[in-house]
Amino acid sequence: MPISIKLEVFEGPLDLLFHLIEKAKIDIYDIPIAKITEQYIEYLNLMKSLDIDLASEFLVMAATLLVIKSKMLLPKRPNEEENEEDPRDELVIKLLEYKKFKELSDILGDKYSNNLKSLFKSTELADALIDSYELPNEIPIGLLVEKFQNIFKKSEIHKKIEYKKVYKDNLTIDEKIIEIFKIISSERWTSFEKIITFYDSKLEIIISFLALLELIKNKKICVKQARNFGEILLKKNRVLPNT
Amino acid sequence: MNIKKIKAALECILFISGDSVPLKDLSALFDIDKTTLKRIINQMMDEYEGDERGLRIIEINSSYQFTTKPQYYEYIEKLFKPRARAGLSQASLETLSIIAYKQPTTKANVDAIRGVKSDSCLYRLIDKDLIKEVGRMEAPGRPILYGTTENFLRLFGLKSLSDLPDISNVQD
Repeated sequence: MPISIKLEVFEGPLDLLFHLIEKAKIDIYDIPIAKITEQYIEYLNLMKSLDIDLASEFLVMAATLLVIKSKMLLPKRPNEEENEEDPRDELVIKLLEYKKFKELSDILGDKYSNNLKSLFKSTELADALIDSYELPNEIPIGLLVEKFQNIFKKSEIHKKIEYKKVYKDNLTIDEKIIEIFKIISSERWTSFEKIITFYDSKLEIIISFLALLELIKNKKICVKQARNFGEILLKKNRVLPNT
Repeated sequence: MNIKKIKAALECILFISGDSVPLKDLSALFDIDKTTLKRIINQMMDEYEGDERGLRIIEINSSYQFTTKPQYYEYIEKLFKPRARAGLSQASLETLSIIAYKQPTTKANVDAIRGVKSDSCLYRLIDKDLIKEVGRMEAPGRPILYGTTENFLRLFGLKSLSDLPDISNVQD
C-alpha cells in the first residue's frame, strides 16, 4: 500500500544542498564535503525508495560532490599548498549566487502577495470608446434616394464610354538614341526644347527624354543650363569614351 | 486651465483608460511640461492616499493608473467574488527574480544559477505576461533574451526597475 509522506520539495540540487548546509548550520565557506555528500546521497536514496522521479541535475550534483570529495582526499604537494585553488570554490560561488536569488525571490514573492489585493480596471471602456462611432440620429429618406440616384447615374455614364483601339507602339529607346544622336552635332549647341517638341505624340516625347538621359549617362553628350529654368543646351562629347 | 480643472480632467482620463496612461501623452494633452504635470499628479497621488479614498494612483514607468487600495479588498471580494490572481510557485519566483535582476538574460543563464532547467517556468511566466522576449544575444545560436514586462511592475507594486529591492542588501 502506498504511503504518502510530506516531503520538503526542492527546486533543484542547489536548493537541496543549501537546505542541508543550513540544517547542519555549517559555514558555507568551509563546507565539510564528506559529510554533506553523504547526506546529499542519503536524500537521493530516500527519494528513490519513495518512487520519486529525480531530475538528472540531482545526479550531476552528486557526481560533482564526489569529485570534490576525492580531490580533497588527495595529498597536496608542499609547494603548491598556497596558491592551489580549493576544489570547493566553484560550488561555493554557485551556492552563494543561488542563495542571493532565492532570497530576492522571497522578497519579490512578498511584494507580489501584498499587491494581490490591489485591483485595477480593464481597458474595456477606453477600448469601447475608441472603437465606437455614432450613427446620425436622423437620416432624411430624401438624402438616401438622392445618393442612390447619383450612384445610378454614374454607372449610366460608364456605359456610354466609347472604347478606343489601343495600338502597339513600335518605338524603342535604342532607335531613339540613334535618331537623336544624329540630330545633335558636336560643333553647335542644340536646344533641348527643339528635340522634345519635335515630336507630337506623348509617348514619343517620353521615349526621347529617356533616350537623352541614356546618352547623358553614357557620357555621349554633354548638357548645360545657364540658370534655373533657362534653356537647356546639348552637344556631342568630343571625346567619346566606351565607343 | 487651473490646477483644479487639470486634476479633474486627469481623474476622468485615468478612470476611462483603466490601463496606465503615459506622462508623455498627458503632457501633450494639457500642453503642460512634464515636470509641472508630474508635480500636479504627485499632489493628486498624495490626496488619494487619504483615508477617505478607496482608490489610489500608482506610477509605473512614468505612466499612471488607478488601482484599488488593498485594505478594501474584503468588500470587493464579498460583493463580486473576483477570481483571485494565482500565486507564483517558488520555482517561478526564482526564475522571475533572476530575469528581473539580470535582464536581458538567456534561459541558459537562468538554468546555470538555479542549477535546474527552467523551461516550464519561463513559459508560465510568459503566459502570465510577467516576462517577454526582448531580443536575441549576438552569440552562437542567437539565444533569446528575456526581460520583464510592465505587467510585472504593476503586479509587484514597482514604479520602475530601479524600484526593485536592492540586490546589495542581500549579497553576502
